[in-house]
Amino acid sequence: MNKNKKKDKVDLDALIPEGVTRIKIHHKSDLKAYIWLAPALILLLTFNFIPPIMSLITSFTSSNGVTMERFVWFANYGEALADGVFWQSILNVFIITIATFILTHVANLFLAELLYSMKAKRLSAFYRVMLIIPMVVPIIVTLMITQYITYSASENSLANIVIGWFGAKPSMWFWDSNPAMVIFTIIIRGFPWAGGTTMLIYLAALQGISTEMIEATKLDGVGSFKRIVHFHLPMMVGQIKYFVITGIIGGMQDYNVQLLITQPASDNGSSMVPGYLIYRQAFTNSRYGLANAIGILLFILILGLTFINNRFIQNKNSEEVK
Amino acid sequence: MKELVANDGTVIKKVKYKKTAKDRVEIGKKVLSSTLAQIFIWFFLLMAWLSIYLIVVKSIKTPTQDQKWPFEPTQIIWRVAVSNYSIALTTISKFIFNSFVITLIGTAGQLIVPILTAYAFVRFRFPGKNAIFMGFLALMMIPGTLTLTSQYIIVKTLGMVNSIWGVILPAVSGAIPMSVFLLRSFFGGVSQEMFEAAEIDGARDLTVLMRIMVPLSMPIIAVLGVQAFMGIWNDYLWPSLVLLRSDARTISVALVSLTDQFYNMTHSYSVAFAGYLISAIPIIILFVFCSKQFVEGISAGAFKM
Repeated sequence: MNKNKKKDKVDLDALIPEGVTRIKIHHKSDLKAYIWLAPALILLLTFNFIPPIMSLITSFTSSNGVTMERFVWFANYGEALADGVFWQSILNVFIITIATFILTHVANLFLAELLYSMKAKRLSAFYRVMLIIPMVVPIIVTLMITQYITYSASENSLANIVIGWFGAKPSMWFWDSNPAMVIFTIIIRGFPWAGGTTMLIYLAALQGISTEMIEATKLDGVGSFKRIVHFHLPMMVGQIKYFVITGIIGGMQDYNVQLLITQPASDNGSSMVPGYLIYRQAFTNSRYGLANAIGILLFILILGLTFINNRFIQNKNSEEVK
Repeated sequence: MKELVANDGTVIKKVKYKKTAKDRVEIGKKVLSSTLAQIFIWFFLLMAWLSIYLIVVKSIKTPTQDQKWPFEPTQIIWRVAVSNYSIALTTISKFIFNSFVITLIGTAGQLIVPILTAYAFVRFRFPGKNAIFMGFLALMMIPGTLTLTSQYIIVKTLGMVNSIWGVILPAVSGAIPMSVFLLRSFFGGVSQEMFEAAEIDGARDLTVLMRIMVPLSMPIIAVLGVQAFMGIWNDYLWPSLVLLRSDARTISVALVSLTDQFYNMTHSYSVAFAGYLISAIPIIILFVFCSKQFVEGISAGAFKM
């Protein structure tokens, strides 16, 4: 790309007849670029660059949010790492993120494959729109419906009625005394996990695969499942990588359910996740130093996971290329 | 019937073709699998629309109807339905205004700032270009929860607590890295010749941006715009921390507290659900106008790494 650009430039200059001053195009460096960048740079410095540095410094102090107090070095880290709730929260967030990710993406891939395989293209397009429209329901409202209607602890909640058909006893769901049940509910609440932009991105990726290749595999008598695993998935590595990276970064930090529904107290970490632990330590207990230490630990964890993911998926990809 | 066709496409002869048993099995398999596919798709559709159904059905019920038939559609009593909606509207109307101001300015910012930035990255050569871009990518890795407390302290130091700017500016800032990343790949795909032509015509950068870049990148801009609007309109956590004065609150913060408040008063969620529906109207309208561009933008293949 870059080489081409340079070539074009040279050719264009040569085309200009002698004596005609070419309208100023680009100097070697355009310092006015900084004017275009200024709003972004100022905002990012203020709200996205300085805060992590502040958080890092604060994590070594006993700050309460108002004053920096004194340096305590690694005491906050020690306290965080010695706390059972912290480790419980890490375990919880791992289980929730991985389970939700797998369920969401298997469901969305399946749905995208269904829409892709439909012969009636107009009907397929209609379904596609109908599956995106529910995006208009805000996450907050979805959570409230989950909390008060579908998975409420009452016997008349939708989930209890449905499991009643199969002869199961009503469950307390989010408010169950068994911690495993609470985690299970947090994962299962998204059922059936499909629709929206994720499905759209997969469907678009499928539609981008050359039809000749698909036809060829069909003629060779390759079954649908094999076709998906060996021909569709390798063509979607870019999309899957995007989902894995954004999914991990988003999932590991998410605490909407904890904030709005389960509100785990710090002495009972049954549904605690690191994000909510940070929120509680900072805004309920005014322990900004400790909160930031947990934040740094979470950041290191996410960075490590992203790095591993990157390698793992790239390796797989290069194998496919071979 | 099967047709014997010559090379030039004319039908030579129609031949009677008998379906063999094997063909029947094949056809049967195809019908079965496409029926199954339809059943699955409809299952996903119904589940996806369940929330919308519940919101609509519940928002028009009387408390007694709601207790007796929590999920079924009931006879509509117009007086009740209208009063549910008017109560909801009067309680949240002042928050709707707050949300509108914040969302409109925030969305404009979330579009304008990354567009300017991405244009600079694509069109100009300047010192530190790569370093700055790598810095943007690095910012995408930093979890929002890590910066939450420090960002709050900065907003507080700048005196933006209870001000709409305390919500708008961090939201605009937070969206920059990802938006620039997506816009840059879109802008980069616009053919170079087009700019050369425009520049020879003496077009200034702003003109090039508005006349060429933006129109050609409309799908991704629609995606970013819809996501920005929905994100800010629906955001709960940050506004609840920054907008402490009760009359400064946004609609999603107000709805959460109203849900409990109305349940305690009437033992039903009808009014709260009417409020949810009202709060979704701007997003529904946005979707009606942008859905085609939105689908196009999502499908354009920018969402991969």
